[in-house]
Amino acid sequence: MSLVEMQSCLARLYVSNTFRALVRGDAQAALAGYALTGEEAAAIEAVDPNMLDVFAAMLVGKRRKRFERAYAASFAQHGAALHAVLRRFLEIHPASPATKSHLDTLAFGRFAEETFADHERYVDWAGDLIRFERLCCDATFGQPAAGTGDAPAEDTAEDTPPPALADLPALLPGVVIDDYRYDVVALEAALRAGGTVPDDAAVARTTIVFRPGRHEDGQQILRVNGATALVLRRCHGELTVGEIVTAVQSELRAPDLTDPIRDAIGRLQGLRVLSITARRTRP
Amino acid sequence: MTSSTQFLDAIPYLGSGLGYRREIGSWILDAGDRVDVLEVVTEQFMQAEDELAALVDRFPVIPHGVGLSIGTAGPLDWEYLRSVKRVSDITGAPYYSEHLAVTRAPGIDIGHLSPVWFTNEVLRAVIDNVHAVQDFLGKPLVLENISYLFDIPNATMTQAEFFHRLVDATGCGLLLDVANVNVNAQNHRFDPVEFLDSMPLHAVVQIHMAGGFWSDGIYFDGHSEPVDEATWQLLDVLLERVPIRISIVERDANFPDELTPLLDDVDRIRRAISADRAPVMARPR
Repeated sequence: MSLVEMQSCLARLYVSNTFRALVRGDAQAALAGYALTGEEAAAIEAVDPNMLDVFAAMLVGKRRKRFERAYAASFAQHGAALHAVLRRFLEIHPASPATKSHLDTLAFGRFAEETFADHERYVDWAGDLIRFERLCCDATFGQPAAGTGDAPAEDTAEDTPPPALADLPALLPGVVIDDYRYDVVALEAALRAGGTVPDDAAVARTTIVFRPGRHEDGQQILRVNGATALVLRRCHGELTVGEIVTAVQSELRAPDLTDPIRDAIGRLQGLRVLSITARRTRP
Repeated sequence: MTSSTQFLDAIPYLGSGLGYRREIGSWILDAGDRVDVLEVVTEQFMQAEDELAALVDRFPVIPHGVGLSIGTAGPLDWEYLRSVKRVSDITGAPYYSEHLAVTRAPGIDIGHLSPVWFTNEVLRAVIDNVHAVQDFLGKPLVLENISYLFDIPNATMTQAEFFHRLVDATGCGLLLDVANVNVNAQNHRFDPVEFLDSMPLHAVVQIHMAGGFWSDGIYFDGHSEPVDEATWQLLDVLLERVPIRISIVERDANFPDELTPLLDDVDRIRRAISADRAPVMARPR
């Protein structure tokens, strides 16, 4: 039985310009790598070449549009350069091996970010911006919204009581915290609105929390200040709220921060960034 | 599930509706009284179950997948199917719809619907897949005829015969995309009415209506334009032959500035499919 081989060969024919050229140049040699019957090989060779090219171009067009949507701000700023990167990516990866298209989109984002790390050719903030857009895409399509668990629904966030000092807060699955050298939120908003950003945009260190899934309030991302970021990075389910307070006070060399930190953890729990995964019982 | 079409017969009349797209989602919600039923793209709600549940509270919702690749020989993607089942279960729909197509091969996601090869060997593989999917989902599978730019040569049967034998063997239903019939007839120069008459119309559960565009002598199934006149005429022909229980107008791009044109099409179809006609029910050949 060679039906799987036949379908593998056809799929490669659809996605690979190189393979199509090889088949057209010397079909027998190009198809030798597949265990095909004579009928199957004949069918593959007889596929309408013009329509095949149209179909292949359509596949590339669909991927290109998906990337352009996901990285709209980066394309707005670096259109020609990013399209050149896109052509490289498509040539190297003519098809996605995964059945989830967002993984293909993320792969292109990583490829472009690594390319943009060449600061002799690309502005310093280009990598920050495309990483931000990639994580937005991943948060939207890569993960389901965090389960409620102990976290209350978002519309009750205001009513979430501050946690007890013995509580163990932890980031909900899929929540990602990332640091940027530039204010990527402002950069992205300006570019998506059709504006421009100077090559020497001001440095403005920013920490973003990405929440998975879709949210009715539209708050896919949360910008947090430095102190809140310090708290969040300690919310891994191993430290109690009290231990987090002690650690953050020490790092900031600040006086008693118990109430602000408890309030912040309560708000973040209400926003489905954190959950209280367990409680330590007092002896 | 059995191979009988008795489960298809139990599917109720749900009326005329729209393919839900987030770009026009708020308009659709505002126009609820003119939309009988929604169709959602399954993959778009695998990570948005709360959003889907909110739609199900307002409308009958039919899940419509694009990534099952029912035409692929070899093992099904069970991780994907588990996600499909969650979506299907949330909707409570009486059936699950997909395309008779190949979208993946080992290690390759083609990224679009590609034609199956109409041979006995492929038919056997598709029959096995349909049985497995229907058993897993616990509801009938309803398969759509796709538009295709090319076919796979040296087939041993026609598309219509393939559909007949598939329906007979599995009891699956047919989602007849009327626009695709028109697109294919234009591109491959065949008589669309003869094609309709060759299909297992007794298994039609649902239809799709949409509009495409011409480019370089090819008619593309773009879902980006108003339903064209040839497709409307084909709908009339179809309704002379078989009653339609569910219709969906699809629009994926080039959205109008308001929903009115799409709602007008939904109304027009509702009038057509609910008219007091007495079509001669097509019978299995």
